[in-house]
Amino acid sequence: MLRNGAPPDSTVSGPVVDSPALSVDGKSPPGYTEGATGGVGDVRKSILVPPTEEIREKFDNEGLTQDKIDQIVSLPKSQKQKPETYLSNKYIEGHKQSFKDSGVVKIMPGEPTGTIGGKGGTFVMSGDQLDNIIKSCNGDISKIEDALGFDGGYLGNNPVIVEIQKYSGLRLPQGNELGALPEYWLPGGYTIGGIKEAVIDPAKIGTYTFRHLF
Amino acid sequence: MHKIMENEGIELYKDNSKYYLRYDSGELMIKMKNLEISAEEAKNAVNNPDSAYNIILAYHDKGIYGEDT
Repeated sequence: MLRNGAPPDSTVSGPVVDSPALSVDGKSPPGYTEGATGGVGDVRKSILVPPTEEIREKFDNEGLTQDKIDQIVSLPKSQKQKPETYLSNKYIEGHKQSFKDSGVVKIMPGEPTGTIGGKGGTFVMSGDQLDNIIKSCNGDISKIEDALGFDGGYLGNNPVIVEIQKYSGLRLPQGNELGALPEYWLPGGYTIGGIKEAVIDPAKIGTYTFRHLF
Repeated sequence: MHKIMENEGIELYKDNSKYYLRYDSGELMIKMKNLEISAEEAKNAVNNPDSAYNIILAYHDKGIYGEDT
């Protein structure tokens, strides 16, 4: 099943619509709703749209209308514009602030052993959002996977939460990252499952700590 | 598969006469993929490891992402 961040079949170029019901904006803590379509597996429908009304409003206020989204998404990865060209500095700084305030984190199935991420950067979540998801899922890993749009079973039995303390290059995704695939990537700093995301430069050993969830 | 080189999270492998770039195609999750490239592209990647990233992007622009590992 295709989930958040999972590459599409190369033969299928289906945009995405009617996405998920998870509200995970920074101001409204994310919650897990049983049966909510938070993953990506079921959202490849017709066009890429903001995942929630709240996010759509934020985008609209920035002039990031559906037409603009369509235009950005349609560009080849090598020609994707920097977010600074279509989002205000206030929006960008506000988006980044939640990462600065609550931490830059990733959740992984195992302990990291070296540099996290590669050329083009690595996607990260904000600490408060991940904490809220874990709490609202009562630590149920399958629900966490679902809320994050991960493949079922991806996180294993005891996921590792990595906090990158000494990060650099915190930025909104541009869409040219290796993990930003055209059928799934949405401009504006949210996954199509509604998870707030950012990109940082690869995190070397010594810049991060990690702990098991259990 | 025989690993030829690694640079900034991208690995170049040779398997028989075929060449592959291995990279993380996941967004928030880790999702490794093997992308088959040409011998010429592999040569370029060896000579200029930074070019591997652009080789992958060029394939992405064509809608080709590789296979899950």
